[in-house]
Amino acid sequence: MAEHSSQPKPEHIACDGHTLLRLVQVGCDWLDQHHTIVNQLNVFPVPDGDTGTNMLMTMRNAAREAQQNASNHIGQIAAAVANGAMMGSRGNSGTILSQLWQGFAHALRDQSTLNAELLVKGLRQASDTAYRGVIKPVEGTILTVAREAAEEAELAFEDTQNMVLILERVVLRAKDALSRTPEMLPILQKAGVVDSGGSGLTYIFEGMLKYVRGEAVDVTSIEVGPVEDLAFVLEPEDELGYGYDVQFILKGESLNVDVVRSAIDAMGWSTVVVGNENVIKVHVHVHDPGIPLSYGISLGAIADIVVENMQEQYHDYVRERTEQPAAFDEPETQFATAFGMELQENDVGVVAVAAGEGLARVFQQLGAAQLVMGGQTNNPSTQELLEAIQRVPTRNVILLPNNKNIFLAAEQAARLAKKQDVVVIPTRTMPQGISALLPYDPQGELQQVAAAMTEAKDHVITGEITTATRSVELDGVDVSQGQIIGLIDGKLAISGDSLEHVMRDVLETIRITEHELITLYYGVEVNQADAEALAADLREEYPEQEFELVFGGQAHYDYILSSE
Amino acid sequence: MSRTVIIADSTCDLPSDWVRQLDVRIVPTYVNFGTESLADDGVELTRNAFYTRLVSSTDLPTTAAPSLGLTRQIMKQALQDADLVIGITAPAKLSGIYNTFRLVAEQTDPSRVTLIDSGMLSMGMGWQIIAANEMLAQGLGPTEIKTRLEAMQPYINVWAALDTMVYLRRSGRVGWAAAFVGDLLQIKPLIHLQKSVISSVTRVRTSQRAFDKLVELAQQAAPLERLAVLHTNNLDKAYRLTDALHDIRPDASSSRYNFAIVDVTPVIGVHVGPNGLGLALVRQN
Repeated sequence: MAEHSSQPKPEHIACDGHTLLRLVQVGCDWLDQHHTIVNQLNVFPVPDGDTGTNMLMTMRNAAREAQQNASNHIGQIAAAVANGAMMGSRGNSGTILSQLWQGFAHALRDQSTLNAELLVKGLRQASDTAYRGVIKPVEGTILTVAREAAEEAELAFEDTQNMVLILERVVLRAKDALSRTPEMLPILQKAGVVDSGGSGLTYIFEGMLKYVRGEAVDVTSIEVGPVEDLAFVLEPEDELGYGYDVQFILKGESLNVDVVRSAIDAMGWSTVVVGNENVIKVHVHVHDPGIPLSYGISLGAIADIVVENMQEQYHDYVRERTEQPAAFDEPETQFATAFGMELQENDVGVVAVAAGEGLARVFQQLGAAQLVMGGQTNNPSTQELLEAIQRVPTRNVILLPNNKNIFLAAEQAARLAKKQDVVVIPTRTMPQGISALLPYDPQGELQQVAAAMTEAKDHVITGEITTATRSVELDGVDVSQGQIIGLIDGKLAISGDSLEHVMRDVLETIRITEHELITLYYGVEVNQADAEALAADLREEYPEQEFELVFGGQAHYDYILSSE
Repeated sequence: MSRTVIIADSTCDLPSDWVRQLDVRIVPTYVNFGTESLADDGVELTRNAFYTRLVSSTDLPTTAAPSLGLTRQIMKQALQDADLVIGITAPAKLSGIYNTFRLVAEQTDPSRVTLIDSGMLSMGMGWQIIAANEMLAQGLGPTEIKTRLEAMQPYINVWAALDTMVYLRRSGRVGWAAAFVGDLLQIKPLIHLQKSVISSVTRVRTSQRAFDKLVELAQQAAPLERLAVLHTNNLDKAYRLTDALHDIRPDASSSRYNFAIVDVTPVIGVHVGPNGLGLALVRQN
């Protein structure tokens, strides 16, 4: 590393618009090659917002937009990158990433070339803008990585004007900050992962560094459409194929994380080794899973072992991504409210994000004028949300994200809708969104309607039943991969081996007997007869409560339920 | 001093003992099951029997304004018994009753009859009859009473929490309800009636939420001059609502007639369905 950085090439002293575009592309590509790892850094063992995919989509759009700008003016290219990132941003990390670009572009706005001073200033403004972009900044996330990267750049600038050297220190510090995220955010520690958004950002920095050092980054065309090229990019690393994804937790005494990391790294690729002297989380891709496991046993006890055949995962992944859910068919009645009246310009219109076709119909019947398909695993982009807002023929719009991971993109879309007043109601689940829509009055005054809807969102308790995507102990619940798990208002609450048991445990936990109505939205993978049988059993078991069974059509989650 | 009597249609929901005490003449409206026409006089059609039949009947019963003949008979009797008649009816915008009264007045002695469109149903109209009666006792004449009742109408609210959207939608009387699409989730509408307009206040999904909302609306409207708790075959809930509103119940010293629990007429029940709960209240001005 040192020998590269000690001999910077002259062109690395300054950077023009073309170089920035190239940097964005390689950052995007390096993230592309690692986004599945980022996706796996998921705190919750549930299929939800894939951070790696979300950030990748954001970067892709940024690169695409910049590529269409023929200018060599760095300020203009940076602005194009920022705009592309903003429109393409999806998920919370993607949205924060877009705000980093926003800040960076702002610092460069009147400049034709980039020098070290501007780079440092750009990183600082990027971090500041991103912090301002969230209501309550949380340390141990992508924000921390961005801020420490900026701080390191400032320190490095005291020693050198060489942007390569500065970027090297930025990458090292980003990795360091990333490895410390579990110390800052207890939930990461408990889940045994580093922060996914921070990891994505680190990969972007690292890709850029590789490029300026002249190291190879597999650059793929960003012209390829977003669905097919995922399969294309994910080509096997070598002729042996994908090999195995091995994860385990190593428990011992006086463990040296750095030593373990370099040992594991020598065995395979895509290494993530984090932890402390007592507990280390190991993640590595290898052809022979026995090697890292034996190594782990030689140092202490190993637990929560997950070995996955990535060849199969790869096929599943490609299949999943290429079988996109059919776009919701938008009938003519879309603009009519639930009360059958056409929305007028001064009315309030509603845009709702729906995780399945059945849920979309429910939202539509309750008066949502526009629907955006998306939910746990396919977070819609800022642009998709913005376009839906713009399709509503009213000046006042209420947006229901119905998923925590869509909040930031929703707020960004709301800010971008210049010709309309948009209020985002922070609905975290589909049932919250449905409950919020009940008091919706299209003829009301925007703020009053929003207040009534905000209050109504909390009238329900949400239960979600799905299959654990990995083993974890979280919030006092022990989960093995493949088990059925129940979440209550977004928190992991129940795990078990049968859906019926988990369903009952969820209902007992929320004190069903104090409630009146339970609505069960069954997922696309559940067959109707099974759902009806389950509902019939529950009606018999809880004769005082009313059970309503509705097709939700959501993926991954067999049942989403609301109790009120 | 000239004597004045009040006649009204049966959708006023005035309790029958009050009707007797106050000598208000009630013209019955009708519920038709197929070709069978039943008068809303508390005899041909009892409320219990009606709601049982409403739920089990596959055909939707319809409602009818009182016949011209019966209305004329009651009007003539009133004109014989008194010098002047005040007729108070359901909203002309929602039913043909006002028009029936108007035609009968023209055919009898229009100069002695004053008609008032209450703009209300159930006890929203009932409270206007009570107020008119008290004004008569104070010596006010029909014209002054009409003016005062019209000034009072903005202070009267009727709210109804329906157990289901089904009856209101199929009744066809309320445009937005008829156009309401939605059968995926059960929805309980909470509606408001004021000055002849029925609007949607909110939609809820549980009867508890509806109950809480009614309590909230009543508390916001307090202090109250008069209060009626309305229900459609839902007496237990009506008692519970009465208890919940104990603190804002109008002071009994102001009027003998300021609180009632009312089983709503089948003529309205056809349009709102069973297990409804509501309020008809007059705010102090």
